[in-house]
Amino acid sequence: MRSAILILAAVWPLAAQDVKLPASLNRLAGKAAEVVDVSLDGPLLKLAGKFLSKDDSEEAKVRALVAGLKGIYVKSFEFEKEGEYSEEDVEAVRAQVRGPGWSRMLGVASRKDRENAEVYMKLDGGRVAGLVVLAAEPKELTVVNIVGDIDINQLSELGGHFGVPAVEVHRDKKPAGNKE
Amino acid sequence: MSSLEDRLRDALRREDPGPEFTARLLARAAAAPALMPDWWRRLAAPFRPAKIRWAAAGVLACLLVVAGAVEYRQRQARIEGEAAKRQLVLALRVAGTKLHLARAKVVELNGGL
Repeated sequence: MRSAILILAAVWPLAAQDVKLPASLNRLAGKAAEVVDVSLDGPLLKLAGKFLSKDDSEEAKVRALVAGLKGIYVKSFEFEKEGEYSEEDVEAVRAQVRGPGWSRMLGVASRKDRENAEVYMKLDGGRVAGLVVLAAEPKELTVVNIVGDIDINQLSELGGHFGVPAVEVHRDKKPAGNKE
Repeated sequence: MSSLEDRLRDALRREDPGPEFTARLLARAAAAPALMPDWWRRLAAPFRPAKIRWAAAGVLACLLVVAGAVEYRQRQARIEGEAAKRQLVLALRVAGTKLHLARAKVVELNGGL
C-alpha cells in the first residue's frame, strides 16, 4: 500500500510532462553525511549563463550547453553506512521516467559491488528534451534531472573540465562478468 | 599737558562730514563693480527663496537614494549570478561524473567480453 502511494505520488507530476524529483528524497538529507541539492530553473539558469564568460573556452562550452536548457535538478546523498535509502526511494524516481516519451538508454547493475547506474532520455522529434541519471550505490544515491534541449556531445565535452573525469576511469577494475 | 597730547587731540578732533556725505557714499557704492557676475546672479535668482533651495536639496537626496538602490540591486544581482554559476558548475560536475561512471561501466563490461 505504501509503495502504491509512493509510486502514485511520483507519477502524478507527469501530468505536467516534466519529471519532478520525488519529495520523498528530501527526507534522506537528514540521514546523509553529504548532500548536494541543486535546483536551477529557467530564470536562474539564464542568470548563471550570463555570468559564464564567452572568452574562457571552458565556460563558453557550458554557456552553449545551458543555452537550450530549462532546468537542472540534482540531488546527491552520500551516507556513512549502507541501507540508509530504500528501493522504494529509487523506484519513485524510476516511476517518473516511465511516462510517454521516456526511454532507458543505459542501465548497468553490478551485483558484486551493488552499483547501479541508469540513464533515461526523453526524445521529442529526434532531439533530446530531457535526461535523467540515476546512480545508486550502497552508500550513495544520486539523481540528476536535466530538462530542455540537451546536446549530449556538448555534455560529454565537459569531461576534463570542472572536475568531470576526462576519461572513463574505472574506480575498481573488475573482470568481466561481474555486471549484469 | 604735553604738546604731544595737544597735537593728538587736535588731530583726532570730531569733524562733521557735511550734508552731502551720505549721498556721496551711496553714489560710490553704486559705482563699485558687482561681486558676482550678472549671469550668475540671474541663474541663481530662482533658487534664492528658501523653499526652492529645500526642494532642490530634496530632489538631490532622492536621486542619491535611487542611485544607491540601483547600485545595491546590481550588486545583489552579481552575487546571485555568481552563486547560480557555482550551482550550475556543481550540477554539471555531478551529472558529468555520473554519466562518465555509467559509461565507464558499460565500456568495462564490453571491453572485457
